[in-house]
Amino acid sequence: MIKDYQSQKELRDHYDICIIGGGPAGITLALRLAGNGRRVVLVEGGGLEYSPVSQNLYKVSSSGLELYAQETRLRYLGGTSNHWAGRCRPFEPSDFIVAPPVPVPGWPIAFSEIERNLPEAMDIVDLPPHSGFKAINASLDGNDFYADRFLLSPPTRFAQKYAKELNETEGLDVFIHCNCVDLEFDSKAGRIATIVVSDYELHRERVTAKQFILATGAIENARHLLNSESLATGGIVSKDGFVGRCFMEHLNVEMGTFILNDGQGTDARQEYFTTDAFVMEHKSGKGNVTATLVAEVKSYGRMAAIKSFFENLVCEVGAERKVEFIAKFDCPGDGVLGTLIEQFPNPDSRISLLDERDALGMRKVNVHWELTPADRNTVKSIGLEVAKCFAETGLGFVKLEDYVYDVDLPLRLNPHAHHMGTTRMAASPEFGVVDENCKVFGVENLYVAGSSVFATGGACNPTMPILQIVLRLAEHLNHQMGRYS
Amino acid sequence: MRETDLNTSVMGRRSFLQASALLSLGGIMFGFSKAARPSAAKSEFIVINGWVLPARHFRQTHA
Repeated sequence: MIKDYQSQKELRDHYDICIIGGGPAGITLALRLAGNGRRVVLVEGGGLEYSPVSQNLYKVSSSGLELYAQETRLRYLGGTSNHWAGRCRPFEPSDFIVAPPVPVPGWPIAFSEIERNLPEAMDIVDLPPHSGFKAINASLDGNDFYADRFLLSPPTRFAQKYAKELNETEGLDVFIHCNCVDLEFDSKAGRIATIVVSDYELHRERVTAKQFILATGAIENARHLLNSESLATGGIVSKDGFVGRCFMEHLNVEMGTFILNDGQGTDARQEYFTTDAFVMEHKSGKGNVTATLVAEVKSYGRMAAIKSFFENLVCEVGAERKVEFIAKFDCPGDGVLGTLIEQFPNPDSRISLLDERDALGMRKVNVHWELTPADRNTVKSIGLEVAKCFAETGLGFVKLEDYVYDVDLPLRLNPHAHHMGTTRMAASPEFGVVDENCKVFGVENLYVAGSSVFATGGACNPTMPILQIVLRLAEHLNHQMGRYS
Repeated sequence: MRETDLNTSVMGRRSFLQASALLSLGGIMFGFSKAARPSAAKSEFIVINGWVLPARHFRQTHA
């Protein structure tokens, strides 16, 4: 049953599992765990619709690259799935095999650990069963880029799709306007004893459960851990630890423009993806490159200027005159190149706690998102090599933005709103926050769900992989609680 | 594949001509059709004002 905590203070004395956060991860966990006979409470800070009062609690400060953290997340039931675009692309085996070329390790689990949950995750986001991920164009010749393969979810809006089940699943209590404001750690027991929840009138109450799961997104998951004084006092969260560190995004870099040999004869949109051979050769991250024709070309045909570019390039006028022509050539081109590029984990890219508090008394956070030379190498390698592939295959020519190949210039980029890595999974607390089962190191009964556990982010859209890992967590908890209850 | 940066917005004509001369002396493989080119061969590229272009179009022998 969905209840409004603002007016219905009807929490039970005890639950088997308390889930904090009603986005795709929290809703999926709640239904899987309650469906297996557990008594579950799902606490969601927002309501059934967008509200500025709730959304304002997402305000952060930013000291690095701008990631629009308040605008890109949504704080109400269904979470950020309420404006999800729906692109689904799974992780690849190499995401789990090849360690990132940085001083922190990659995933501690095998690809097969999440692969088995792919069909169920696809079903949750309404992808057709047994359908492969599909390319919309041919591969680029050579060993560097193949045609990207993906599927589009309708997209699934979790609150709407699962409203009936959230209301009717036996053993499940869903409270909206119920904000978790503290995690209370019992250091003697090594467990979270209770969480503190608050409505918008600052009425506070404790929730007791056997197991607790944070599922509030990568920024808020880290914030809840950092905000808990008892976790800090108990030595679980420390200033030098990994909580909040290794914040990653997918880089949305405006690579440049291109001109095509066959102009209008080309599809309006083509998507390419780096091969494993490319990544190994360049010691780079992975990346999607999308070539999109500009509308003017589709409507009015090719510009004469582009035609003259090709003619000048191959004619016998002498190199000096060609360079002069190209240096002055400022035509916008046939289309633009966009990207979704992997960022490597970097401990200095991080969420940190501020002294300032929000309206509910929780300390606010600063997000410091930064890139490393390894990330600039990825951008440069992908930009240059895709440009060479265009030329070598006769597709056309690419004009790169100068910041792509000159790493001393500031990179112009946008985020993809894919926040990852702030409670990263690792084999030991030396390199992460949660273990292979998404359990926080040093706490018996606290788990984290969502892309904050990603050790590396590949170049795949995270929603579907989040669900794969969440389904694995649900299996683990059902198994654990079945054994011990 | 290798590339030489000839960004003319930051590079003078003399530097460009020096680079072109170097390219023409490089003894690199070019001029094969894609089908005939040995798979191990790597084409040379230059970057002029952001445009990534095959170096073969700018060799001094064309002048």
